[in-house]
Amino acid sequence: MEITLTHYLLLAMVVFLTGMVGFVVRRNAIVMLMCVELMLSSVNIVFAAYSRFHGNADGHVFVLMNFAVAAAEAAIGLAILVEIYRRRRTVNVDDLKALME
Amino acid sequence: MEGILFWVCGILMVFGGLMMVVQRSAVVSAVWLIFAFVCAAGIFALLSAPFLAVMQILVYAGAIMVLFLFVIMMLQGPVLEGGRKRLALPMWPAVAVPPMAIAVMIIGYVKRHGTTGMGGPAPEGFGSPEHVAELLLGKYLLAFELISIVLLVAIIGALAVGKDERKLPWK
Amino acid sequence: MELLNVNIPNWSDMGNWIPEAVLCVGFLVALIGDMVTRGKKPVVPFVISVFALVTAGSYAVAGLNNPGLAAGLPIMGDLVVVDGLAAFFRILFIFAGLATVLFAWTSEEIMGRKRENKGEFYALILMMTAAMMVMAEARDILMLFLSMEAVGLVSYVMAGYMRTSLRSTEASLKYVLFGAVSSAIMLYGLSLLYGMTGAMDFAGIRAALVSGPVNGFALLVVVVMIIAGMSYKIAAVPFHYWCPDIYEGAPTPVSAIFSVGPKAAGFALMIRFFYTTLAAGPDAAASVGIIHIINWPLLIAVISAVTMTYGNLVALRQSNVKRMLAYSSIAHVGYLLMGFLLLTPAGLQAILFYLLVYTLMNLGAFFFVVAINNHLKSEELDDYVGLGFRTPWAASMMVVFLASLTGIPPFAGFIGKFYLFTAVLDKEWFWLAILAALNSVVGLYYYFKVVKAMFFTTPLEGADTSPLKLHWLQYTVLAVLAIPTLVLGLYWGQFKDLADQAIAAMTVGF
Repeated sequence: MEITLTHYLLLAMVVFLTGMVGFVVRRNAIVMLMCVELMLSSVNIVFAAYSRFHGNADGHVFVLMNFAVAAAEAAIGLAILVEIYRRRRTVNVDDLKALME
Repeated sequence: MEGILFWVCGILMVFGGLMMVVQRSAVVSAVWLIFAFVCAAGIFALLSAPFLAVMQILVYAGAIMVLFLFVIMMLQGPVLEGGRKRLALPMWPAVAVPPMAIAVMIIGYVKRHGTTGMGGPAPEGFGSPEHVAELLLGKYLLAFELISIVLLVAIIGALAVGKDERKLPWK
Repeated sequence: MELLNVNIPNWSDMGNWIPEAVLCVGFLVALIGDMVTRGKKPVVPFVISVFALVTAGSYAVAGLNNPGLAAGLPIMGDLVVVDGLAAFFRILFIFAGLATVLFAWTSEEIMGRKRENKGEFYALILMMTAAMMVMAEARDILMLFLSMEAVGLVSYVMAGYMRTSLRSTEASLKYVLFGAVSSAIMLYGLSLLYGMTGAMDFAGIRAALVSGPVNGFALLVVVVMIIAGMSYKIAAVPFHYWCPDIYEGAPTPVSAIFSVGPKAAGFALMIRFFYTTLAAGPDAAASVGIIHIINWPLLIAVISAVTMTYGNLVALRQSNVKRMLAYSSIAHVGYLLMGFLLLTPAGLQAILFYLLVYTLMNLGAFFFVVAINNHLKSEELDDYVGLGFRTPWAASMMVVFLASLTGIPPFAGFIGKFYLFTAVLDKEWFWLAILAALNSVVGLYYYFKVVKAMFFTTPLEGADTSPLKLHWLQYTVLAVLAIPTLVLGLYWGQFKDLADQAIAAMTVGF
């Protein structure tokens, strides 16, 4: 059976939705950040697949930039998490209620 | 051959993602995520993007996930276990609707815009480091500069947020 | 081995990018200055950042006279362009950044004795300004995404700036998590758009959409996902939930720039992106009506109506002035989206003019809250009782800002709203205009609750009624914001022309 663009798109969709459901269901902020990484990675598959389909490598450049952005986002998110942990001894978003009224 | 590899990598990647969501321990979740990323590297290789496949392993599965694991280890404690929400019944629609909406949208998109082919064989050297470098340092040079600034901001920001003033050597 | 055949774009057109370059250099120099003084003399990064902003601002103003502006000046290839729209927003952002830097200097929340990272604050504002400028200049989806992320990353850090305050750090965690998800959704939309068209630059995307058969549903999916990501930046319903919490949790000067800068940058990006890729275009030949495949006006009209109604109704119930201003800024996004409805030049010009006015009045209102917070350590409406007599000048300027936010003549807010309403009424969207008018009446009620507290409520027995003395810098900045708010309500022609030219320049590309 020939593997077509549709297969890659559907694979990316399933992975994206896994990440999204995980983000909503999990309450541990570190795991929530990891779910976002999974979502970004599924978008990378879409870019790479279309890049191959169109035969231009612009999508590859986008994927590379996406790596860097994901790293930057993870670094800042984790730094904020560590800071919260220092004060609250928790990274569970349900316990962070200072802003909820 | 491509078909077998696609199914192996694809199913394992989805499996890894699912396990990451299901596992209660953050460390185990992180390891499953690394597993999923390695499978994604396989998908990149199938899409004739060898450079991306290598970078996926080096940067994503390597650097970024090491950062995650490092933080998890640093905050090691009972709080990191557990952490799945027990949803009250009225909350379920709120959780289920956005992903389902996206699923419907994407399936509709793929139905209308998917294809049965891959657009012919990839040209010689497609997706090789040389090919990507030409674009990165040519057409996309400005974006390359911008991303370096984004990373610098991330470093400064992480420092500003995370540093413990009392322990800095010059204080 | 043969060397790679890389065509490095030429650097000669970097001359048009001096403001951005100055801000980036200023960012580094301010950081180094902070490090050399070991973070103990925040005056060094403060002076450097003021100097950088003033220099960049004067170059940006000088750039307005560049004859090439009308056609657009590409910078090193096609990724970004300096045209009328970019030139307009550059000045707006530098102005907002400068006002924030000056006001932050007098803010206890930023400069109080126990606060940390004072130097980084000024450096990061410079970076934020530069990144917002790039957002207004991007004409490639890669640049669009990167500049949005740059603004986002700086915002995450600044929201968590008050590290000793739990509210502040929690606000920034919330901001990071939801910001990352919304940008992932937008990225998904962008990737599908790239797939549909095979191009990354806006012109190429438009060309592909015009020439090829476009599937309406597929395009709708892409547009909905991209709007989701951008709505997060401008805080439109249903992606507004972060906004009140973050404005309340972040230090007030930071909330002030959040409520103006990233929102205006988001609108600049939306205008350029949707107008250059999807709008029907002024000349009939190119107007294949890409936009007509999806019911675009209805989509935006519904978002706009829900956003303004929600913002106003929730603002009614707030007893905290800062939170009330946060909801009011959501309502203003609803008004602004009215101009976006039809993607006509008249509507977009109205958006630009309103953004200019909104920057003045909203910054002013937030800065008043900063000044009062320095003395009272509170933002509750109950504590504002009698302020009209304790600090008459500042309170009167606050009345100007609030009246302008309401949209009462003769203040600038009225003129801005007038143009937005005209843009909608021209195309006979009566229900939206009526709804917006009703919303303005609701706005009148809660804005004047503040005025009433300040001037017409008798303080309780034993309440502190001693006069408050504000810093001279605070009076100056407030006056610089209040006087144009008054003057623009009477003589707006020249600034309206500026906004008109900014949009007119963009239509050349078709």
